[in-house]
Amino acid sequence: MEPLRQALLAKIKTLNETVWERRATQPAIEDWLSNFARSNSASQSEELHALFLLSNFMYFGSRQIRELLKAVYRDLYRYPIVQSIRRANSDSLDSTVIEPLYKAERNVTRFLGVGNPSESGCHLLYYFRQENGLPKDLFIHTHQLFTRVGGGTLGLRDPAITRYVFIDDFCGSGKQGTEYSRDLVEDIKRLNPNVAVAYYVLFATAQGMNRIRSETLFDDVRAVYELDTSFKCFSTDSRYFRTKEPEIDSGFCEQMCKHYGEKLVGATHSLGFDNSQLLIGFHHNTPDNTLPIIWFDEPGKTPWNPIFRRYPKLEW
Amino acid sequence: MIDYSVLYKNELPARDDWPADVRWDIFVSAYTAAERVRTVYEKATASEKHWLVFPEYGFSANTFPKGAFASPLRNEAEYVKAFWEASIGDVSGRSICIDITGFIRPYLIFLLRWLAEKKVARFDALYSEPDIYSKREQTRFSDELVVEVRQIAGFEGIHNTDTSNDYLIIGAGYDHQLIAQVAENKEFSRKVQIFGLPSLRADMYQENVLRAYQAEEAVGRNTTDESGSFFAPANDPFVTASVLREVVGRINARKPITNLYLSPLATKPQVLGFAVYFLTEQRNCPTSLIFPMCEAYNPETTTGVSRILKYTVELPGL
Amino acid sequence: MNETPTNPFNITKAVDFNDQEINDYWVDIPSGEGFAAMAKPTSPMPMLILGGKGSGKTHLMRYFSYPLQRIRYGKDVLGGIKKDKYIGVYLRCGGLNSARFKNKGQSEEIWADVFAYYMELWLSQLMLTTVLSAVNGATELEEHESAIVLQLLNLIELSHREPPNTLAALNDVLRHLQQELDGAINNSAITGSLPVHIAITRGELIFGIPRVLASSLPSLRDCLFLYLIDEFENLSEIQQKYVNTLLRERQSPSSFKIGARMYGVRTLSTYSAEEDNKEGSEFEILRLDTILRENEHYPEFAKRLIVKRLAEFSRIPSDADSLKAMAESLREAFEEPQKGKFSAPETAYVVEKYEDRERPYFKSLRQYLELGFNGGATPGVRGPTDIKKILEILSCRDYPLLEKANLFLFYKEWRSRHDLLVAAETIATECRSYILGEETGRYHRSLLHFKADLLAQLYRETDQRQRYVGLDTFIEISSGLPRNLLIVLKHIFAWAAFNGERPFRGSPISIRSQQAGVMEASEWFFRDARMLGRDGQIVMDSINRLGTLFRGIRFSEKPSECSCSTFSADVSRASDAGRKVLDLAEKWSLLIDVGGQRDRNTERIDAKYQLSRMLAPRWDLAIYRRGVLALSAEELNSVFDPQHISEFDGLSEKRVARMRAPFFGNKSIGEIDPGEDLRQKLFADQDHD
Repeated sequence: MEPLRQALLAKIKTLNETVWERRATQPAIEDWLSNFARSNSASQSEELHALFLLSNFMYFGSRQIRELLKAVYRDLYRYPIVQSIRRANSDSLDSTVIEPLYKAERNVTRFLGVGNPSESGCHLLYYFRQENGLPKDLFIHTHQLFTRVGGGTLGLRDPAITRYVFIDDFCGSGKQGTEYSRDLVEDIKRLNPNVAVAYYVLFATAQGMNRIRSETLFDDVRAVYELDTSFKCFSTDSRYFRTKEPEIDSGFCEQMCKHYGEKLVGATHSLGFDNSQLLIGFHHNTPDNTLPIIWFDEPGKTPWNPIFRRYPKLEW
Repeated sequence: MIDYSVLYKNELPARDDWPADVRWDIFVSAYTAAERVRTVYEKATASEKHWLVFPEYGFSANTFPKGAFASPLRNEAEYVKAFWEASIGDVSGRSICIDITGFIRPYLIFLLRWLAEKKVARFDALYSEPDIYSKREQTRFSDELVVEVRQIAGFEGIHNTDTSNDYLIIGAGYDHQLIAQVAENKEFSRKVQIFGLPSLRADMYQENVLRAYQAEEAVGRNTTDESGSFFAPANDPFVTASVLREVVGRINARKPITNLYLSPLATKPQVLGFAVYFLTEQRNCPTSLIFPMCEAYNPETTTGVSRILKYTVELPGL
Repeated sequence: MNETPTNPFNITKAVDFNDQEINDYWVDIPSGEGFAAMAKPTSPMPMLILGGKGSGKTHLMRYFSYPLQRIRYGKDVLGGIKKDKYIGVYLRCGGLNSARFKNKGQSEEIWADVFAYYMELWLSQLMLTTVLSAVNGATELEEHESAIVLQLLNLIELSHREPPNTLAALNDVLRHLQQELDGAINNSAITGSLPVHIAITRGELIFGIPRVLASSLPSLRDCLFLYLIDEFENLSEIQQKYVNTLLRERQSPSSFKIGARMYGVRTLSTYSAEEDNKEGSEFEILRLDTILRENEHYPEFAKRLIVKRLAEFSRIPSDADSLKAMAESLREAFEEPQKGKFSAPETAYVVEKYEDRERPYFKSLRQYLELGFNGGATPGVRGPTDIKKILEILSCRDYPLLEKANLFLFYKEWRSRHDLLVAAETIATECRSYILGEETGRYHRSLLHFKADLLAQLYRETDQRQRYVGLDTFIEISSGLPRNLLIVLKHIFAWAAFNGERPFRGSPISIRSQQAGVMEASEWFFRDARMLGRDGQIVMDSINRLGTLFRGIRFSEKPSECSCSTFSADVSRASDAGRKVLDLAEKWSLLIDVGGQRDRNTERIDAKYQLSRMLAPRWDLAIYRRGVLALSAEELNSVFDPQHISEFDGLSEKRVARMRAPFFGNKSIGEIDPGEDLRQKLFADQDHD
């Protein structure tokens, strides 16, 4: 067991120094591991299994998130527009032709964040704007979508806008996206069916994406990273248990996570919201779809030392 | 100056048939026995299709398709020239598609120069992504027996005797041995690494950094710090080329680079991007592409096909 | 996010330093006149400076180059050069990218000529650039420039070009010629042809420029024009032959210092009537690794190096006095296990851990005795009661080290087939005397020699990591190579930071951080020694076999040699292939030649090699060199010769079996030696905590 433990620690140390923004130093790890039981037997050691999970954790730091926000703008938003401009102009490569047409399209686009202003979706909008050098007036709040025209009927505040782009950082169940569609997109579409409404997200589960694609009126639903079921920790095709370490027992691991998860957040979501079973976190937050043992931190509730804590209060 | 990011790139269906207007006169692919390479070969519609068999894959005569071009020539220039002479000839007015997926990088890179020499203005490149890699994190893409590090034929550049501000830009892939070898070969250069982000899969960026870290001592300081590392999408040659332009511009602005070395060790689309960048902007400059040449490569590392990407590459007139 | 200090040992290579930093970090070796004397920059005799990775070779060569002279002398660089009596022109062969001078449809002969011409253009430019920088603005240049240029133009076939009239313009011409050549070489891959007009005869400018300058410019009259050609290993054999020829046909006032890795010199032959350059006549050799390793001032040098680093990074004043004070207190920055009589403090944990349990080495002894008894290999033992008695007699509860010593002597007696009960009693008596202060006799001697091994065994048996801790250990491990030391410290620092410690800021670095760091550095060293080509793997595998053999010996019951990480052998009797691999291993610094010894009986001189100390942690070996394992030619081949490696397992097993209980290589009568199975079982039973 000792060699594996040492190897896992060495891997975590490397991750710590390179991509984890030094958030998981040994003292922090020790604190987190103290949540779990030790054992002399490897396959029964909660601590060892916890360490194993941690070594597989995917973390995207500030720099990486900013780069992904660049990718959202450049690859998901801009490129398709440029492509259609080119096709409509005999495949021109002339930037003096393309750029003005592109700018014109961009000027009648508005970007919005998903979630209330204090949530991460909106927080990221700031970096999105910064990284891509975009003017402030391209960004609006949801309350700026509509206006009351004479008699109190709903109208689009700016009828010139042809595109609304909603940006989110994480789509797990797709719940928020579907809510937005119901609350906002349906009205937009009703007022002007020709307006394009897009939903672009940095990370999404395949499940979440499917739900939004099938249940909402968003015209364009895309993620920079779509997480399939192999990212679900204890699924049959889980990528974390493919190379079989002899000391690691996936069944034991799952039980352990369930056991503690239940104590922390209750049985329904003991392995992450909507049973997502993810091992992912970001500089600005850890989504609740990640295993609760990683992030749970609620003063006043079950005492627990998280390793990548999550900030907002739970509202399940 | 061309804006690489406006060049056409789109996705072809992995399972369904391709649209009827997707067809070429000449189709070339490198044989590797990987499922996706064969699938794409079958799906492609072309007047003539060619398989290339590279000696480094170690295929014996009865294991590769009949009619394939298989030469024992291990020099990228000689191989490509021999192939062209034997199988292609005059290409004026003919459309070309290259599936770059199975190519060994030096051959692919030289081929691009050769196409430009033959006055090919534009061609399509295909790249297919697999379903899963066979062994996460431990995948060995090459035998890792590097026999020498050298410049790629046709990409040797002029040289500056002043080597006080030489730079090596490494497209960092999974193979940390390759990174270390090329870094050590250009020990006296400052190093910059380009990591694939967005990566092909969500976990691959982190794995990439983890593996590249093993070459850290060879690469030197500031590898993952902001001044020493940059990002380019793993599957986009055009943005890769743009990023190179940006990075080189930035470095030059601080202090002019005396000699620039480029080494694309990551995905094939990135390799394409490096080569396109060089041919478009860095010819007749003190810039060259260098590569750690291996004796052997593992021809099969993946299963399934999840995505097929098509890039329309614009080549400069030479 | 946590605030972590930057690692002061992050930069470990000379190449990552710019010129100013080299000057700032320069820590001269405190012996004689230091590096300057060793490298003899004013000696006209060419020198080959051989150094392994991390020997400081590049550092040294750059130190003598003009840019560093300029930093040292500032505005009055000409005055400085006069004082130095040399001007150094530094060239990295890597910058030539010499691998392109081949194939592309041209013959080897053509490439040889093209390369020679290219070098001429390259070296000339470097020389001119350097001198121009030195004499820039000097009146003597103004006075003599046109004359100099005219003389130099005689050496070049300019053909249609406009003749330059300044040195700077001449330099431009050379640059154009060189870059034209670059283009032609690059395009030859496409076109298959290489149109080249060679405008300069070999050596004319390389020697001509210094000659003309020295005779024309008073400041440079007595100056040695030094070509510092580094990274020689990047050149092919033919290309090296050309450079060798330059050395041989050297003309005053030029000279050369060639920097190469130890494996980097492919040939000593020249184009001068195909004669070889010989050490002592055409050139002398400076072997940096050996010098650094044997330099008794190295530990002091090492401490000064570290301290200077720390001072730079912590922005502490770096005057001589504070540096000296820092160096003296450096040892305290590393936690070390408490030492004490009979290693009681170091082994106290054993007493505690096994308070009410059988100590693992006694458990093994008991099992061996039982096994041996059943196999009829325990003279003097009549039954289980005797076994129990032996265990009691040999125990010495307060001092696990002495218990290990007792067992060591006991196994020795057992191997010699003495009566075991008698042996046990004798040993117990010796042990008691030793505790009371007895300092002669075999007990004392055994501990003197084998203490390190016994402690190592103890740590292993009780599931502890080996203790490579303390500054002196790290200095020793680095084997005289400064870079190795920096890398060890870099990894240790990183672990300390990861573990939440505050290294070099008051609190000592913990033992576990040191251990983890050393292991990582050792792993890195092993991986880093990778070489280009097939040979690399073969050499690594043979080192692996050697390490495994040494480890088997160290952790056997009765090791034949103490602190064994060195072997001797009559290498002349090994196969050619084996010798070649051995030679490569030495050139790649995996094995260190520690000098042969004369065999007392046969008068034969055996070569002696130690496994690099950087690799010791990989196989839990001792660092301090003591015992030497004599290998037969057969055994040597089984380690190094690819044709014979299949014999290795058998031969090494045979060798080590002689050191293992209960049969010590002798099969018990009529039975297959079950020792090995028991060993497997025994290890499986070990505690894992």
